Amino acid sequence: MRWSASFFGRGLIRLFSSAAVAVSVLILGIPLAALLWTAADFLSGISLLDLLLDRTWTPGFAVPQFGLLSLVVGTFQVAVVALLTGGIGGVLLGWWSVAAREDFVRKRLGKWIGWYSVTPGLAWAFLLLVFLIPLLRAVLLQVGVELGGYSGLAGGLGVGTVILPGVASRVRRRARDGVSRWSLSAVGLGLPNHVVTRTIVWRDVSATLGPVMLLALAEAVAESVVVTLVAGQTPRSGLSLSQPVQTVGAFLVQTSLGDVSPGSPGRGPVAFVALLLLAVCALFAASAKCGGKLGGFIKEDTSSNSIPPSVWKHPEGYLRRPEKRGKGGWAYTAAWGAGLPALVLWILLLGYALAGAAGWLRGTLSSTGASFQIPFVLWGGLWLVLLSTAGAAVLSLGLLLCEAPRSDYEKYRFTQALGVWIERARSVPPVVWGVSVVCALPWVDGAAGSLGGGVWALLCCLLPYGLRNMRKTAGRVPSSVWTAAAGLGLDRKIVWRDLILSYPKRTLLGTVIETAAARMSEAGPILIVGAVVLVTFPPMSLSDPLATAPTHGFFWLTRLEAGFGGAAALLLCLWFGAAHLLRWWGRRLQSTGARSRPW
Amino acid sequence: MVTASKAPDILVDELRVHRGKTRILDIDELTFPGGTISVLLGPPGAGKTLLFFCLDRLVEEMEGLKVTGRIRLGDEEISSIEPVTELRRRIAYVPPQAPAFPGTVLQNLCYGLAAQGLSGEEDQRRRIQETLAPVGLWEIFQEWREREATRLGPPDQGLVAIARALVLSPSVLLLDEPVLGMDHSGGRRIEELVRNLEGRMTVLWATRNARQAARVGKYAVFVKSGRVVESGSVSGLFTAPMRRETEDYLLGRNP
Amino acid sequence: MRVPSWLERSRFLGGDFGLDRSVPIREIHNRCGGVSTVRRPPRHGVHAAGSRTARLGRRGGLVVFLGVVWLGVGCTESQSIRIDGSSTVFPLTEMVIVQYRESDPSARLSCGISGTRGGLRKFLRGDIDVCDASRRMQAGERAQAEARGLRFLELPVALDGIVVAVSRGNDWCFDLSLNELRRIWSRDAQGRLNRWDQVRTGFPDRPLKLYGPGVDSGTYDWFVQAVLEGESGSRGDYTASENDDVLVNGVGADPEALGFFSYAAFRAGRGRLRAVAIRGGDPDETGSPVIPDAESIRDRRYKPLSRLVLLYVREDRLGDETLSRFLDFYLRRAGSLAETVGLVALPEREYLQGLRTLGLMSENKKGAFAGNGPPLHQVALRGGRP
Repeated sequence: MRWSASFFGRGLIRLFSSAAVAVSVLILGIPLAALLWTAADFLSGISLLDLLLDRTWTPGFAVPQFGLLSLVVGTFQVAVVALLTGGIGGVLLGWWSVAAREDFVRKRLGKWIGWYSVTPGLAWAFLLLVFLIPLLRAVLLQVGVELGGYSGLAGGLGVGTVILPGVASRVRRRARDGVSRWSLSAVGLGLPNHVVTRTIVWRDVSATLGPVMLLALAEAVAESVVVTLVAGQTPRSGLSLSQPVQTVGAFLVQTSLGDVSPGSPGRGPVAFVALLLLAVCALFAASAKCGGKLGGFIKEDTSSNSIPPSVWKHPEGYLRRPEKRGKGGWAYTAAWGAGLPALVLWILLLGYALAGAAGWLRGTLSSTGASFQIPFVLWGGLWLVLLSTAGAAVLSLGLLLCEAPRSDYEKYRFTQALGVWIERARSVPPVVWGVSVVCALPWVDGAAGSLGGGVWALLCCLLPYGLRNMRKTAGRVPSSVWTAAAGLGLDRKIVWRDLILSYPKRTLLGTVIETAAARMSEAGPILIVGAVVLVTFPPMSLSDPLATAPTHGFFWLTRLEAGFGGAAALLLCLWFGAAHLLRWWGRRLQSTGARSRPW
Repeated sequence: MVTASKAPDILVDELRVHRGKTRILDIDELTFPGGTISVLLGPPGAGKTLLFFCLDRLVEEMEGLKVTGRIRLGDEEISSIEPVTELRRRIAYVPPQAPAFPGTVLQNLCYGLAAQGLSGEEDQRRRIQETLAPVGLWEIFQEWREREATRLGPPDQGLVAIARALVLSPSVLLLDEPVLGMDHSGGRRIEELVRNLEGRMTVLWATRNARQAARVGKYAVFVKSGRVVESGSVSGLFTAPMRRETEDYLLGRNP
Repeated sequence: MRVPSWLERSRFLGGDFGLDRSVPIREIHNRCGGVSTVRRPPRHGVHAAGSRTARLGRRGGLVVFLGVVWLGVGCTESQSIRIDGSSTVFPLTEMVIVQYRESDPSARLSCGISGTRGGLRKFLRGDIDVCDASRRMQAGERAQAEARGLRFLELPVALDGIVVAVSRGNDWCFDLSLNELRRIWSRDAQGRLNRWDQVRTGFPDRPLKLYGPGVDSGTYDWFVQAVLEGESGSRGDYTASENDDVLVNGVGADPEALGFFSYAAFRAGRGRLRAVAIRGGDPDETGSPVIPDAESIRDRRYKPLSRLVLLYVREDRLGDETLSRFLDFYLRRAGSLAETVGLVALPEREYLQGLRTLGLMSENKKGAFAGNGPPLHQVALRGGRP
């Protein structure tokens, strides 16, 4: 199809798309290049043997030591504990939310997955620090094991709870896909429902457990904030779980709390470690994808073979065990017990938040300095999210406009390949983006720690997800429509303007908003960009210092003076409430946009 | 040769299905003779799949549908056959474009056998041979045994789906558009297979393609908008339809 | 089968298969005897011109509104003051900011905790206006300032002590000599000295877990200078955190832990901690161990771990009215506020000296804050508003 629209219209769109391509490449490429450059600079100054064989990682000290082993061992310990608790727990939760025989149990477990996924990791860290670790310590003391205030075990538990909802929802989605795909065929042959789930669907789900665990491992390794709070920061290479350990994420956060501006000795090691983390996460993501292909990941298809979920309600299909009088079945107990930590946490969080709110209204919070900070922090966070969302939306749209329909593939191969690589950047942990942006900002005075730096870091996190979601939305146009339009000799511009862009406009906006809401909880990259001002004012320009709710919550949670706990809980509740509202709004935009779409 | 237990008749009596206030299926009386291949012909949305769901009581799993009427399989009422999974084994339903189960072709066939209680390898192999050899599928099965079923092409997956149903030795086989989307040779292969089944079991074949219906079946039923418009032998229906709607459909005329 | 006459004549279904784009869809529908599904174009979207204008108008209005809000809040802005540096001084600075805002709500003050070393680095680069420091500038930093031509003021604001603390569950360690401290923290001890009985023979054979500030902290620098004099650094295998509260939590929870942090942090976590008395602050290492508290720090008896905490200010920024007012307020209030955050107040004359230094630099400015205001004690009596 050729352009036959007016020259002006064509030129404007071309200008916009080329600008979007250029800006995206710069925004994502400059930080990564700076990261590589700083890390290479650092590596050239130390010996490789030291790096591999030395047993302590103390790069900041007067006589620095660069033994990666302690970092690697610490990260490994925490990740293993996290996989054993959160990974396995997530698989169980996700699987039984589809395979349990009782309808009530399935619904309840499904709801718990939702609760776990909206609970902030900072809140889990708080629960662990204040309640669970002392309890665990008392229990372990009976067995003769001394658990330190910070320990690898605590870190693993914290990270495990952070990765649990991701694992559970992936397993659940896969199992539900399997059910909707095969249940009609199998039930039509006379297999009862529970047999269908436990034989046919289980075989499919178990083939994907490997990739799911790999992705969970990548998330566990990249976790930075929770692990800083509960695992401690001692660089040791021992294997004892009851002692504090230092992980890669904790090192990044801890060093950047000091200073990683140019001239600081911490900069090189931080860049190098971030690069290492990037490589590890990319490797995990790639092997998960390969494993998925090997395991026969079937693409989602929307064929008409789906029995509505009511198929599960026939009593013969579920051989219900007779319920014991006076007690519920163990399945009911397990269903409630699975969500007990989330329930307890939310009750505590809301309780603390209400106490904080009461203190605010009564004026007792003012002595802690928390009172006027809360609205300023929320204001700063609002601008951060607004600017980065707008930037991601505009850039994604520009990138999307570059993409040609399949008939013009040859001409636009570059932008399609670029789009694919940008989407692959999803596997870059947000912490690494933060470090990269810091490495890229040496020449602007005071830029690190400012609103501009924060927007840049968050934009880098958002853009891959935003582009992918936008592409999936716009890509739902069936190829038959393109071919039909081509057959009628219609302009490409007309097809884009009338079919692609006007109907899903809301959907596109909705997907970007939902992506932003999902990314709002990232404290890691913002901490590292230097947004650690603990007293702040509402930012008025891009160079003003930035504070966001996760970072403030991070610090206020550990402060010993009275009142900060409540203020932290209040701030976290407000922030995550806002994230939830945004997500709801994004979903609503998507569904109203979807309704007006003909396909 | 028709044995009463092996190839029963199906009698549908006053079957009405309501969704809310609207009646979506309305059959006064319909008989499918045992041991023959009957064809259900009709446009999409006519109620062919719904009739199949009524026959094997899958319609009870659907929300919001109210079913009245009686269906008899041979001498028994289907509502009296318990457990319902036993009914569904005897009346096997194969959905359109049925996807292959995960695993090899052998594992696909054994899912149903294991549910029936046949779990030994030898027993399973023997049963598969007993059921597939008479219809000419045994050689193909030997060749495909260890192949990953999901990697097969759509025509082959369709064959596996029918084989899955056949190893359960059903008395009635409900095939819902089994050759949908297949190319000519794949479709012909399935038609041959089903023709081999004549006499061993009652087969109901739902299709939209009148030519295919003429090739495969002995008896035909034309349904439209939830009603049976006309039924009878295939040759009679296609040469001299009695209803105007049947003629319009066969000639491609739309009102 | 009868073929209708229109079918024979039709271009669409007859011989000619060229399509005419000008024929609207409905006509094709009629001529072909009905197509099974026809999608009508939806009502909203492209075809309703009014809605598009309305949408543009709404969006434009939103942008304008946000811009007005941004500017409106910004209209009341004054110059921003950036403070950064030590986490020890931070509670005092924070308290001063909270109170200063009551008198001047439009002031734009921000304060971070990069640590003394990090803060001084930013200060020398010119990124911040005021640096909280828990130690004085070292020779290298002063040289850097010289090289850049940066002139600055040193304003002491309080006294602090570095407390070596253990958990209350620790029932064996009540005092330590400087030598023992040196042995525990020196670089040679890394990986070697990790049990309590290696510190002193009477102590139980239990693992020794160390906590302390990181290398960017002034507390760390001072500790190294005071305890490990002559060495270039300490051991590295301890839990290092810039955040004093993390250290307090860690030490307080573990009876086998030993950590050092500021007196302010110790005060805040007093319930779980016990300060270790330090022996050997005199040159000849005699004398009884000294417990750190407000008096021993003020009298400088708690040696060598008491120190001055101070502010560094850029001279060229002193022309800004907000900054000089803020500093004036700070120096006047630091004495009374220091106690509340756990630092130790300096004698009054030090604050007056600081005010005079400020006044000297800004003597061309008239007004109540130019160094010739009422004396400090009168200010305190009158409730704080000069």
